[in-house]
Amino acid sequence: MASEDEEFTTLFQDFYPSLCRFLECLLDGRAALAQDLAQESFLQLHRTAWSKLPPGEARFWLYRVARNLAINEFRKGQTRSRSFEHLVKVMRPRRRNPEEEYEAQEQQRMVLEMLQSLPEGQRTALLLREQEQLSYREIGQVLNISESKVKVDIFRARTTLRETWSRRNQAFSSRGH
Amino acid sequence: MGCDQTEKISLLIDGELATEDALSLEQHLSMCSQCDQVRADFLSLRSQISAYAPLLEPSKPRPALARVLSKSHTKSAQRGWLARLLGVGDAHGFNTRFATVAALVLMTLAIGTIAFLRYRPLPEIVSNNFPVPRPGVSQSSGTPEAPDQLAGNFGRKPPKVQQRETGPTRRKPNSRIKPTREQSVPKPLPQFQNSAPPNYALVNEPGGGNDPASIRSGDTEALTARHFEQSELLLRAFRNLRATRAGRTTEIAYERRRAQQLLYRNIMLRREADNDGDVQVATLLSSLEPILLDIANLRDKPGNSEVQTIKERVERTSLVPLLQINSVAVARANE
Repeated sequence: MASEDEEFTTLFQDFYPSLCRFLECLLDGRAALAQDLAQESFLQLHRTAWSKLPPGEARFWLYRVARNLAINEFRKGQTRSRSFEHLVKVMRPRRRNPEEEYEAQEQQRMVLEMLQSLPEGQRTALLLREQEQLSYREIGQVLNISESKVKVDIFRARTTLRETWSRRNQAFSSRGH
Repeated sequence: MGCDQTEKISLLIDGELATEDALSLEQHLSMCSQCDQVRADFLSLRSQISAYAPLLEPSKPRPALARVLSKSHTKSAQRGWLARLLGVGDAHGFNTRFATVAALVLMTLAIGTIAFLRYRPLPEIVSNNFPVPRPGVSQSSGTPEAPDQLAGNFGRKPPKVQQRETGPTRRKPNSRIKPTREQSVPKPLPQFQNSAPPNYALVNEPGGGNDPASIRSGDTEALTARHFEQSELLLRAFRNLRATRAGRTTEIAYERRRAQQLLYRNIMLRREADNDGDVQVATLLSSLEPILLDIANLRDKPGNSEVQTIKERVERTSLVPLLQINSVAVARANE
């Protein structure tokens, strides 16, 4: 029992930050909500599946549950305000100067905007690939879809983002002239 | 686009293309600038998405989750001043060790007190009442032996302590904390100071009195944690680079650019860690620096051997797991 608890704690330490980031990108930058859902995912894992899951499966289970929770939030539309918001403090890594800070924020905002333009399935698959570095097979396990579907989803997501990116650049340069 | 290899390029950068196909596609990319541009764009998108930094620092778990985690973790994370002073304790086995040491100290104090009260006024009576000799204990002098004599008669305690000490704990035995007769003198604490081995996982544990985390700023901690995490991602990506038959490795522009960015920050953070006296973080950053430097200085299409050499160094120094452990440890310390 003790070692199970230790394993759970290790899993939490290993994957809580990346799960938060994954959810944040999935939820259009709603960071506090992302953390709340990440914690909810860990709680659900501990309550329902921890003792039954084969070793190595917990990570995929976590991302699957986190994604489902995020989808529920999409459906709710307007998210209720949570007291959890008050518990977290803003972390913005300080850069050398305000220009860099602004640039980094803009970059983040743009990434989020582009990701939001994707259908949810493609967005999730791409995030699991680019941020969590899961293989296609592992992504398939998380999303409960075939590897070929993962392949197509990621490809379409990239193509869409590339086009969006290119349109943005064109618009930007035409405004500049 | 005349040739549509976009889907294959997507597979290529994910390492999901069969070797033969990957080789022929690499060949095609070296001749087709349009397709090469597609790959560059995909890699650029990857770098932007993977560089996304969370807006909020991962926060403390809410009560229900904290209770679950506390079963194994927070008991060691929140251990008190005595444990830190003793320098013992990791996530596993702290309670046993701490309880043993505490029991030993209390027992020693009790024995010392009883011996002092009994022996000083009536040395002869004590000697007569407790005549059982103990092997290896000198009987020649009076006062210092009284506690030993008493201990011999309350006697189950020393062997019991010894047994507990070597019993259920999974940590390697530390000869300095085995109970000895000398420890019947109630001054054991100085012997245990600085006995903890260097442990990256415990770096910057919150609340440590002589802990470097307590003297480093929260912003630096957050930046360090992020830096560890991003370096880990880079090294993982680098490790997954695919070698080609022609002796050239696949495009590494993304890894090289990322290494250049991280290198600058690494130097900054290492200096800060040095100044703050945070030896563990400084050491880890020092091991990371030459690797980042080497990746940053690679050619556009380096030879397999160049890449392989760096990969081997990464493996040998176990940097990826160390960075992973530390990014979490430092982030936790900054909570």
